[in-house]
Amino acid sequence: MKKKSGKLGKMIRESIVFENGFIALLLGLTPMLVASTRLIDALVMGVSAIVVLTDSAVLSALLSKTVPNGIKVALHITVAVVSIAVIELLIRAFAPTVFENIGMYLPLLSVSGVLTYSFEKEKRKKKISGALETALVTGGGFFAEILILAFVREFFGRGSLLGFQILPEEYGMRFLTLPGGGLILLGVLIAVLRAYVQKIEKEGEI
Amino acid sequence: MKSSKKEKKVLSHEKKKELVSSILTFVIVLVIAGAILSSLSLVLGETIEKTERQPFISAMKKLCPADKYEELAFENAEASGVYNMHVAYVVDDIVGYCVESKTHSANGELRLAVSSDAEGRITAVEIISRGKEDASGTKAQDKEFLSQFAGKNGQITLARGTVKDDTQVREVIGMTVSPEAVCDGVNRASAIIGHLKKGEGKAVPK
Repeated sequence: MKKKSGKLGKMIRESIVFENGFIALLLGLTPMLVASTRLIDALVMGVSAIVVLTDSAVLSALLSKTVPNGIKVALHITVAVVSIAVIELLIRAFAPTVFENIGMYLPLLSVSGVLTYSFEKEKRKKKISGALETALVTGGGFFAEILILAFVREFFGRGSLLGFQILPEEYGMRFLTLPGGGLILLGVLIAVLRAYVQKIEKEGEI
Repeated sequence: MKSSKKEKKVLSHEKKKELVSSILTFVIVLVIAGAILSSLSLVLGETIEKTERQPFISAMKKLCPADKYEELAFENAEASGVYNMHVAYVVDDIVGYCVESKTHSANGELRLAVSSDAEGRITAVEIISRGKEDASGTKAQDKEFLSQFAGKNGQITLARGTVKDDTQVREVIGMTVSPEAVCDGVNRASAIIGHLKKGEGKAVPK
């Protein structure tokens, strides 16, 4: 049990801090900044990222033995593009307001550097479970970070959460909902995470 | 010498084989992807259309309450960015018209519901969707600006300072949408309502 929780803790730490392409290499910032102005948009964007990364990883791992090396990357990206197109159609049909806010930026996920980064990491893992783990770690990290950003930006910027007005709108710090405010917050988040890394490095945990 | 030629031939044969298999695999993947996307579009097409129309229908019922509505078609309406043209009846008398006007601003597509009375005078304007809203503005300022259109007829212009006559509306600072885009959308809607009022629209069969 202890071993299991230790593995889960390591996976969470890896996904959010150490192996996170978004925080470590600053990849895929546009979808993250655009979709983090509202919590509901962030939830949809986060889930979409996990789905795209996971299904392209699993399919690529499944076909890795039969598909020639030359088209593996192309196949990986094609699967991601198709997944995003399917997600787009579903969001258009069932969540039109979310589509209005982030629809334009969803396709960016399929060509994001994170996808290539994730593909490069998956290549080293030959089993499907390994590829799935890598995709979940990367996608999960994106999900956690975008949720943290969106929570702060929506609550302190608009005074609402998931569309419910909690504080009067005029008391919100409007600059947080602007791209500049998002970038500053992201910088703060990265600084906090890096300080955490340094702390546990000193403690000799890694 | 002979054996190296043979090796080269075998190598080039293998390369050709890999190329053919790559192309074939990729074509198969694309065909499957196309089939998935087109069948999903077919299944969700009607739901998407309904979902996209719903905000206009709700706005129309609010802005132009009536016993029944009849949808109209007008030849050049779509080219002018005007859709969903409806005439409103109370008992059998025409009480007004309501149309949807789409226009573009720096923040993306702006959809407006514009209603008029039976004479073609604008009674109300409502924003159905605003693309990416200008986060530095507030919706209260939008309402103040939109309320100026009530009672106006014909082409309306935007006044930067004080309003000179009845054909002008005053710009309000701090809106979430572009006032120019709203003016443009209302003018397009007003022009089409002018044609509908003359009986130039044809009833769309249900």
